[in-house]
Amino acid sequence: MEKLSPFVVGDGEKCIGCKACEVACHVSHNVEGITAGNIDTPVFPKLFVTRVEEVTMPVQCHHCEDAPCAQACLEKAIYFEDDKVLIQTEKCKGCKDCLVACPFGAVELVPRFVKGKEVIQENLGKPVLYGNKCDLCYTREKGPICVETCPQQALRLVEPHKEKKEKNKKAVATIIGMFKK
Amino acid sequence: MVASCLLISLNNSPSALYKLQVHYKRGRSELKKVLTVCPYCGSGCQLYLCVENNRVVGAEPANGPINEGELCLKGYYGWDFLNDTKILSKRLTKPMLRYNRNESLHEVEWDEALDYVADRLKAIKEKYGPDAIMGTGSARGTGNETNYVMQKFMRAVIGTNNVDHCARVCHGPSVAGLTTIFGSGAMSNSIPEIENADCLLIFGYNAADAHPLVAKRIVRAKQKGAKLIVVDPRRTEAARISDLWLQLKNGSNMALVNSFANLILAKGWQNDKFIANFTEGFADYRKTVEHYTPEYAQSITGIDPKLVEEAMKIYTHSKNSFILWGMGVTQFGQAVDVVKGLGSLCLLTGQIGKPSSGVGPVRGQNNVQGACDMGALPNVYPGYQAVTDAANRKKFAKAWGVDQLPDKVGFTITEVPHAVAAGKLKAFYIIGEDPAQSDPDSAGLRKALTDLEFVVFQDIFMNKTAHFADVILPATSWGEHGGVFSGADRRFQRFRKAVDANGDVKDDWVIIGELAKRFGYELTYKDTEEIWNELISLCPSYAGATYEKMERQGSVLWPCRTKEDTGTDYLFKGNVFQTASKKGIFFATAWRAPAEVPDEEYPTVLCTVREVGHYSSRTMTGNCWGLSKLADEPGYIQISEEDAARLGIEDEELMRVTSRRGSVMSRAKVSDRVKAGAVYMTYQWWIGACNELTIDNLDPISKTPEYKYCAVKLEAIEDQAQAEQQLVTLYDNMKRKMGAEVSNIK
Repeated sequence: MEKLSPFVVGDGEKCIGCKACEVACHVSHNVEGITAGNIDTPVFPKLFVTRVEEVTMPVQCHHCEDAPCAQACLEKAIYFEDDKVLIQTEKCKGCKDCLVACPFGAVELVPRFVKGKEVIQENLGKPVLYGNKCDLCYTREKGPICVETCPQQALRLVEPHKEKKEKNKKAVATIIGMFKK
Repeated sequence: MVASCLLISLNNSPSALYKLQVHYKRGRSELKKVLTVCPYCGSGCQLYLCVENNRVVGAEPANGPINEGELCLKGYYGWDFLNDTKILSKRLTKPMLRYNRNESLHEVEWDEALDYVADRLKAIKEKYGPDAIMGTGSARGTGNETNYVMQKFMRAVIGTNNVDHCARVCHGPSVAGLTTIFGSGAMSNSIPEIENADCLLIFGYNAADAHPLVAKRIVRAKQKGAKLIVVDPRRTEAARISDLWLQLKNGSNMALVNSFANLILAKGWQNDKFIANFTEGFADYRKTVEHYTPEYAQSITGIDPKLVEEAMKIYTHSKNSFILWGMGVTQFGQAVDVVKGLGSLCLLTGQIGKPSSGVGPVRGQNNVQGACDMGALPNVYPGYQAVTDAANRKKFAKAWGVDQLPDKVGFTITEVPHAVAAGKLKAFYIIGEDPAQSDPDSAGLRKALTDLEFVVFQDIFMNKTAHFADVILPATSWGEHGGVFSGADRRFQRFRKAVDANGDVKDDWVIIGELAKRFGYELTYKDTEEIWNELISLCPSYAGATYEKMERQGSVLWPCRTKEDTGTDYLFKGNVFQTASKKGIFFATAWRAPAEVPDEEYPTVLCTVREVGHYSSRTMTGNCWGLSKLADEPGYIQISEEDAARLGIEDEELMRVTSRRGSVMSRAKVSDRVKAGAVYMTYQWWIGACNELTIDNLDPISKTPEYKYCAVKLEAIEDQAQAEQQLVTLYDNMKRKMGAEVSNIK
């Protein structure tokens, strides 16, 4: 079986909506700076704390196996690298097809900043936008920073193949118990 | 507590790590970590500040008793205001003064500023008497020692009890109410005990936004099997995970609490043995609540009697029930009464005086408990010793080397506008507060600040209040000095200096000491520990809480009376209360409607609330990159889907909110978590300033304003583009006035 893509998921029972994950996410990807004290752009998290009547939790990319965002992208800026769906932001033309294709609303178009300054398309007088979404902090040794930062431990990295095996094992234990009765 | 630190875990992207390690290998920078206490909410989380070349570069969670290795977003990302980012306002770095209100403030040397302050205060004292001068303590980063020194200055040097601080606009009613009922005004149990309760009754308290690490204990209690009962007009995070949610009508607290008592008595669920042995005043109490059957109360609260029964069944039948409350109880014109009503529920059922069972008024600011503990209040000396008691006056007069101390209870900060209008107050010495932003009816407060003859402002940032000052005294910030904070659960913890301050600034207590010298009074100390030792020697309930013990134990919960005493997790062991008779005193009274109820012209209720990313008047969080960029002007107004649809307001659109006192612009957050007929705003915004709208209807006892209830009208704004443009212009102008660097970043 091909290895399924991992993804981060929130626990609606634990999340209190404090947004520590959002700031952590931004800081983690703010490659030019070193710490939160150097943030010089608006905060563009790659996960979105969402409140509805019943639940509060962050929503982020599931790195879908059929990646509708990648399939929709005419520029082929969205691609699979190993088991992660990534965006090559320089290629992005801001057409928003990925945004429409994504079933989770996990892609956002954000303005490009260089050294704290918004990059403007000169002939249009409008900011350059690119698609932004969860990349599982793939350059970071300890994995997704949101999982590490959450004070409520409400986020976890789901590794589907492991998840399945563990559930199989649990099921075996339950079934054995059933026969013992 | 200083250890070397090779890397900063805040940003572990390889590039960042690599850079730091290279720097380290070149020997260019030495990194250290300093253990301290978070400067934001009253939870009292411990953290390490990571320092490189006398500059804070990161924060890491420490294993404190409250936070156990976790931090919320303010703890993680709320430190870079120390580096004077000038996002919102600039750090104060030099004393400033004006001899004439028509002039603008100009920089001067310390001697000139302090001489002028002393001369003017002396002249005002001479002409009008000491009670014409008012001072504040500060519930924020300055620490307990400054609050002690400040109240000593006001009482022993100026000769007045006119000293107060912002607990007045927050948990003042909890202190007043609980002192009457139990003889002690703080949380009866510690924060870690929350998770072991069997029932949590959460009343008007949104821990997820106010105290994220307390919210963690609530979530954990639920996971351990506790039943959660939440009383709140909004569907808060706690309401969402609750077993029972009582969505009461705004402003009906007293009626609901009385109906709780009525139902318990009707069902016979009260604890008769406890009532007989440990309480007083039960007969009168019973008579008062008799009227409030759940059926009658429903006409006021809107709560189904069946829900009242279910809630009280859980509360009375659980082994350990713990009541938590916040501003949803205290920021009403009838607040002290409701606090007493909640306290009386404990007495009625015996749900107090044991682990994980009692009352939890969870204090808002990092040291609002401390400023109260230190007697920055107009009626008590440090350690809650009444100024009206002759023996206390004699004790403190002797210790402070003065002939006598004033016996009259002083003004509260919320009475300042009225006292100025009546010609009773002439000078105001403000430390670490921003009343022009935080107090109700801003227009009324601005008039008072203008009418005062002399205003001294001592702080770390420019803010709205600073612009009314005659003299500005710049102080060191949290991170630049050390001392002791009191966490919400009576927890003394040491906070420490991490960096040397830049600029010509002094520690708050040093400034007050130098001022006292100009009055011929010796108020100088060699360090904060010397101040601390003086004050604990005067307060029996803190006597054993030395610096050494705090270092050794991590924290000390008062009462801590002797050298051997390790502190007190929960109060009233053995059901011995701290009132004169050692008994709990029952209290109930009739419900009173809020002062300004909706009418045809102003048909909607405005209630002010908190949001998680910003703190207090925003001078600190607004100057932190991560936090400031997460939520910005004009702030949000939470409005129901029905109200928004009726008024033609879309989510994220700018809209107008108007009361009888003012009118501001805000951004709509259309939410399915609030009911039609009420809207909710947070108070830290300059443009969307909800305190332009609020009313200064004060609780008659605690003088706390009714922030939670006034009448407003809501309007859609037709030309959104023009409104957005106006917002940017207004904001940029205000930022320039505060010394911020206004950039082109939107």
